[in-house]
Amino acid sequence: MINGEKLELPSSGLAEDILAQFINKAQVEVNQVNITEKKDHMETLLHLVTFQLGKEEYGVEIASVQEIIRATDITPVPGAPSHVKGVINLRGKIIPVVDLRKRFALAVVEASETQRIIVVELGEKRIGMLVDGVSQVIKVPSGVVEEMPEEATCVDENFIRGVGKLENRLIIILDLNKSLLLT
Amino acid sequence: MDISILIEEFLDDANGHVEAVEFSLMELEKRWSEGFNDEAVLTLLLGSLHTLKGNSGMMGFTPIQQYVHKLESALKLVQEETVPLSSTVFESLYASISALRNNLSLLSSDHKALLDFSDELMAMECIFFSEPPQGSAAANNDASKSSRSKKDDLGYLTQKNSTIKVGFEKLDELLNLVGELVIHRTALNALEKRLKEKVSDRELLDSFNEASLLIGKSSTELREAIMKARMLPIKSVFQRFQRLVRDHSHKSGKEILLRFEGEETELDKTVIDEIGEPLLHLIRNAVDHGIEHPEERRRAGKSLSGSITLKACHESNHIVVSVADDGKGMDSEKIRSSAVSKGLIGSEESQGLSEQEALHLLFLPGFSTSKEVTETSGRGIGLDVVKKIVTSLNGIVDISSNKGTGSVFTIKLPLTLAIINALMVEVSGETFAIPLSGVLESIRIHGDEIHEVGGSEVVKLRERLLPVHRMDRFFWQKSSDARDYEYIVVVGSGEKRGGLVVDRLIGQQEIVIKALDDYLGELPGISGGTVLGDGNISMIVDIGSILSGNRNIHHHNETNV
Repeated sequence: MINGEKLELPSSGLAEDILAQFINKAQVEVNQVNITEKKDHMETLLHLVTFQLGKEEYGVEIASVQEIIRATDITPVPGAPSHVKGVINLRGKIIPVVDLRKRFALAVVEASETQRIIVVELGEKRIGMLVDGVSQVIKVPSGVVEEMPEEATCVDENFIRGVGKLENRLIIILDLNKSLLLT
Repeated sequence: MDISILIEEFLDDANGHVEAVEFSLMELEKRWSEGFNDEAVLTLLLGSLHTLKGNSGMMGFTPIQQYVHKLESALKLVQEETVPLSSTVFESLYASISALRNNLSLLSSDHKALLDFSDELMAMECIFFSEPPQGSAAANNDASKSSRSKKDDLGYLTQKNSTIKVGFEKLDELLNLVGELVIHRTALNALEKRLKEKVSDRELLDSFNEASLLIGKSSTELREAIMKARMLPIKSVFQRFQRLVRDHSHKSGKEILLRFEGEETELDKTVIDEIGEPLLHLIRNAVDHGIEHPEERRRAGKSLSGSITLKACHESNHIVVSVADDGKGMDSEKIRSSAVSKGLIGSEESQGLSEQEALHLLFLPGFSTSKEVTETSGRGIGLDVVKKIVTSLNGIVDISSNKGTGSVFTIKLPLTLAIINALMVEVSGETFAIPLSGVLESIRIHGDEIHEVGGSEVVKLRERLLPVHRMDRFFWQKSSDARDYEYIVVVGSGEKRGGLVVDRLIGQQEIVIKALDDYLGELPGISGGTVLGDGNISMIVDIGSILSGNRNIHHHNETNV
């Protein structure tokens, strides 16, 4: 899947179906990636969900991602920390949504169709991350992940676990605890 | 008093013990056949029997009590190795268990059933308590024969248990799911409207409508059923205080009887969890300040032992729990002067208070009428805490007292803390829920009726000045354009009154309260959230925090940097 390509939404419109479709698509690609990278199978693979935020592509470990939903109906919460966009109703549960642009001090943009909320689990908590768009699920050999080069991005390097260098792209791998929790 | 529920509980419990005894017995037999004597299992077995004996005695089932006692003595002989284990002994013990089980099942079908253990008692007598052991061979045979005929009754194996224990989270999850169902049903309604525009087949539309109505009805019933499953009798809370009252009355040299009324009244788990603390304060208060010493009671011509009555009942949509004592009652004059001397109220103001209002002075923070500080109460915490807790639960607390004959504290709470009635309002395009328990009235006034006095705004309502709070300013630090008319929701929290200026009144609605994630930090003016029928979320207004002007301005500044 190429960045910016839109997902065909299933007619049911259910988040689960969208996710299922998404995962299927991703799986196909994962298989392809697997084939191309089978040579270095001795290395551990990082399984990432990648997403767009501004000009950069970011990744979070798939194990902490619970689901991905469309960014609609976010209710603002007066008095909440400013990087919190609001709350959403996830099957009857109210969970907070962090505006990742604000959290990373990036320019604020208008709401768009491609925006998604990635629901992640952080220990007991479930928190949504508002991102510009979700791109794919990939496996990255841990060998290509490097420490953050200083000049690469404007995001606070404390939030970052490392950078995955693939053939012609960089994936900034987030440290979810540091990116989301207020410590 | 209807004790049938207690009997059910006893039977449930007793069957559990019988099962445990049987299990231990099988374990014991297994070990024995392998050539060991397992002390630990025997102890376990005796423990279960002992509890069963105690419970049966308490419930007045003397035959069971006596029989279990005999069984206990028999097993003690085994423990002391006076009677060696043998297959005959095991047979007899199994027979005893079957006998217990049979009699318990008799009881469950008829609470007044006649219990008969005579055969088993005789058999046991022969095996364990008769001498010499050699001569008892015939008796042994008899015993095993009679026990066998009873043991063949295997009905208990297929007996069904009617209660299960379920984690509260599971019920909560169910409630969440029902909430979802209601939301989906709303979507169905919208779909129906669209269908009506496009489909002309009336019959199809009608059956669609019917199906949708049925789904709605079922989801309502489902929710009610789940709410019922969350109910517990208040007895469990009441009984906790038995010991407290006993200990404290001993310590203070008072004689106090704790009585219960309506302890079978069922309350939602959320209320059960919260009601303990206010009750604790009220009971301590009654023990320390209400009930007099026996000497004093005698002089007043009362019975020497005082009594405290805990009472629970349902009253329309509320649960009412009261703590009544037959002690010395309260002296409103003393309360008045005490409040004045503590600087809680002006002297003139105190004289203007009615009897009832004077009693309510007790709920002011920093009030304590007792001259001495006792271990139980009077440590600076007390009635103001009760008031605070009850108010936070959207309830009210009231006092009535007659000098000389006692006082009654009454707590009135909503049926469940999970669901409340709320007035839905709109502020800056968002829907907010104001708990109806705090809403006094809503009014519409001319914009120019709001006056500014010393930096804050007030309106004149029936000759009294009412401070008003603009919700848009409170929540979003912005204000909408001046309007000809303003909607004001008049609310009260404790002694405070105020008006909340909102953009629009939407209507009344039942809402399910959900706590907001603490990730959101402290939210001034907001006590929680709720998911509405259309799936949208609305914030629940915390009236108390708005009226006390508790907006945490630093919080905003910090996070906006």
